[in-house]
Amino acid sequence: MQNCSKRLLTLTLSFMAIVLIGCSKEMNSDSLEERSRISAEDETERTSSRIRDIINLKGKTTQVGALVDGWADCPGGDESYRVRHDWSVYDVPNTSLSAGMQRLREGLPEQGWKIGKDGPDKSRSKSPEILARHPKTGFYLEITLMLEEEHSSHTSLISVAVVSPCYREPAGKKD
Amino acid sequence: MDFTTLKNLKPGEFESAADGYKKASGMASSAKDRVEQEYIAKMQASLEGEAVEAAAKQLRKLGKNFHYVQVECGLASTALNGLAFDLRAAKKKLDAALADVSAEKFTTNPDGSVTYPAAGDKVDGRTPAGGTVAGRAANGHTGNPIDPSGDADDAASALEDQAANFDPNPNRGKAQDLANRIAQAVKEATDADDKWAPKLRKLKADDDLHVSNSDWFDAQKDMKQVRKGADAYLDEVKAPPKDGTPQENSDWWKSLSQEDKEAYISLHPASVGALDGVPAEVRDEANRTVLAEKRGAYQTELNSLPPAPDGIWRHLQRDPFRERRGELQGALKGMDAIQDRFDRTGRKGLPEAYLLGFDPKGAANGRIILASGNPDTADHTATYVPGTYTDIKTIGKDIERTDNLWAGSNKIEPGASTSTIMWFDYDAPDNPVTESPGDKYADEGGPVLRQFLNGNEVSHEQATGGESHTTVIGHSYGSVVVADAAIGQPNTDPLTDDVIAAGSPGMRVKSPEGLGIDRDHMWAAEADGMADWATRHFGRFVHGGGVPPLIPTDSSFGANQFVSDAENHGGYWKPESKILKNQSAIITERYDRAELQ
Repeated sequence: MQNCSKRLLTLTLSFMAIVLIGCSKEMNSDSLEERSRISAEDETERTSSRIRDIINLKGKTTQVGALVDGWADCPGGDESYRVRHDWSVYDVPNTSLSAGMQRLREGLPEQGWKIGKDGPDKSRSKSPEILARHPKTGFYLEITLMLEEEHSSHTSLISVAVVSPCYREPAGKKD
Repeated sequence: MDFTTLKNLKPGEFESAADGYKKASGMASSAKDRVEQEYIAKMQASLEGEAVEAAAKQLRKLGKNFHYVQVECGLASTALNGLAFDLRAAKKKLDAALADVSAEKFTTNPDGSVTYPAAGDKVDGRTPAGGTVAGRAANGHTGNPIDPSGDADDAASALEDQAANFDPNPNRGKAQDLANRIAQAVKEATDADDKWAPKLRKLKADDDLHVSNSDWFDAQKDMKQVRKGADAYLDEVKAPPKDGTPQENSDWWKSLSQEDKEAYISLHPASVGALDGVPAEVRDEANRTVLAEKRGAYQTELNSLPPAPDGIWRHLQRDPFRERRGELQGALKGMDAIQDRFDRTGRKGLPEAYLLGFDPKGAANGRIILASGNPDTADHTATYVPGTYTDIKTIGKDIERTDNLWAGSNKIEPGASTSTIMWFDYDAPDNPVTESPGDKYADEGGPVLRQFLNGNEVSHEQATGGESHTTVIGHSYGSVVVADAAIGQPNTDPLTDDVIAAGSPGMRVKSPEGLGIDRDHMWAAEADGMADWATRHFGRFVHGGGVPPLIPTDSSFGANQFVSDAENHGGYWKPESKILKNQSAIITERYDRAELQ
């Protein structure tokens, strides 16, 4: 295609697409719970604590705290946000990690979590994964058991992501 | 300044004072680091509540005060070294003249005049008498066609020659020369004093404990005026190579003495901060100073603008400052986001942040390059290139993304060190409809990205003797910038180890080989959100490679495809998205842990 008509087509199609889909973006945040970021981070870390308690292993835990999720796109744009806490438990033998994973399978439903998936993930290693959501709190869990062989340079671990629901910034927030 | 003062002057004393200020600057820098990284973090780790937040706020202010002390003491040190340098030159001239006075067996007087003894052939039976001559410093020729001071010098010099010719004592001419040399030396010392004294006086801080925006704005002015005076001093120090390669920049930095390095950071933080190849810690220190000074300047300017029209008729009122106000507010918001990241270090267990590039204007939307973890020493380094709409005012979100990447990578590979870099140093399209299809943004941004990545390679090698495992992530239009950078690389030297194209509208080539990347190391993810869908599906006609044009998420392109989030009811924004898990797997070389289609 000539450069000129290429651009014209692109512009026309882009414009049509933007018009058609423009509406769906600007959903408002009215239905979201209002919470300050610090409070949301605390709530997320408390949820993580409960998960760690179910796993009930003595090993090491990574140190990063709950962070605002930059990959999220909550309804309400700038006025809303979501928090995620990424951490793992490691420095424990493989059998202990597997046992910890099993305790999750039993313990999560006991605490009100609905397990949506419990089986191998789609990676080459086919790691066991548990995906769960809590209907009351709106939190989401992604847990992967990553076991390594004896001679591997990588350490075995249980990898956890705790993701909060979207919240609305309190009115009159300081940025 | 006069002859006696200069004769007794010990420039070394100024250099000692400069050392003292340098030490003070260093202590302030350490104190700042401890306050920001240790005290606040530890306090927040063990306590909670409003009182802690209030205390943290006060401590942060203290940290900023230390930063200000560090910068100003650094300037004082450089100014004193500059003064010492100029005075040494004058003293050297004086000492040489005095040595010659001694050799001739003349004497000097407290006012700098030179007394010469009787000498010469007898006239009327008597040896011509000795005398005393006062020196005259030259005003200097300007070299202009009309040059009154030069003319005056010539006239005075001619008169002196005539007087010497008339005097039968040959010592007179010699003494006159020596006296002139003495006067010249004193003049140069006086000039140095006149130049530096006001600059040093201006470095005095005001006496409240609050380092305000205008204090930082003043710091920027202080730097400029010290820089102007220090030209001679810094000329002795080779300037960085003009448009040098990262290797040349690295070699230049290595060749400087510790003192010269400090002078350079002190006086040219903006250029040192932007030099690819210079160590990350150095760039960070320089850019943090630029950040503090720009923040002060922008806030001061914003405060000086008349307020926006208010009330119900405001949309009808003219507001000539609207654009500038918006610009300043946007830039300040971005600077706050950078500061927020600094505050998260330690507090959230995130590693130290390194500001590798900062300019509120940049190519158009700002230059912000911020690393979590030191890329000079990290086992794994990932560089994230954001896309359309990226701008300093929304850069907080992009910084948060690289924090998430750091956390995700660290959790699956806790034994290795990682650095995730948010790289924004190109003019990003501002509009997905009218601007994204354009090529020029990537054409201009590609070489800049390429040099940045090469700079990391060079400084990493300098620090460790080895290489980091590198990943470059191009997000929507960012992937076109990555493509331009990769295509420009020589065949034998791929841009990076792994490339991830997320929501790419096309990368100008029809396969990973076109980018010089092994297809085992090329990864593609679908777009997030509807606007990116439009960019991707229509952008391929402009950015795709081959006929018909291919984009990285086409299976025939040959890249590894991350699982489609559309299966999980779509989009990165859903918690079910695997985009973070998969990117982390690639960043840490855990390829067998990435979920692929």
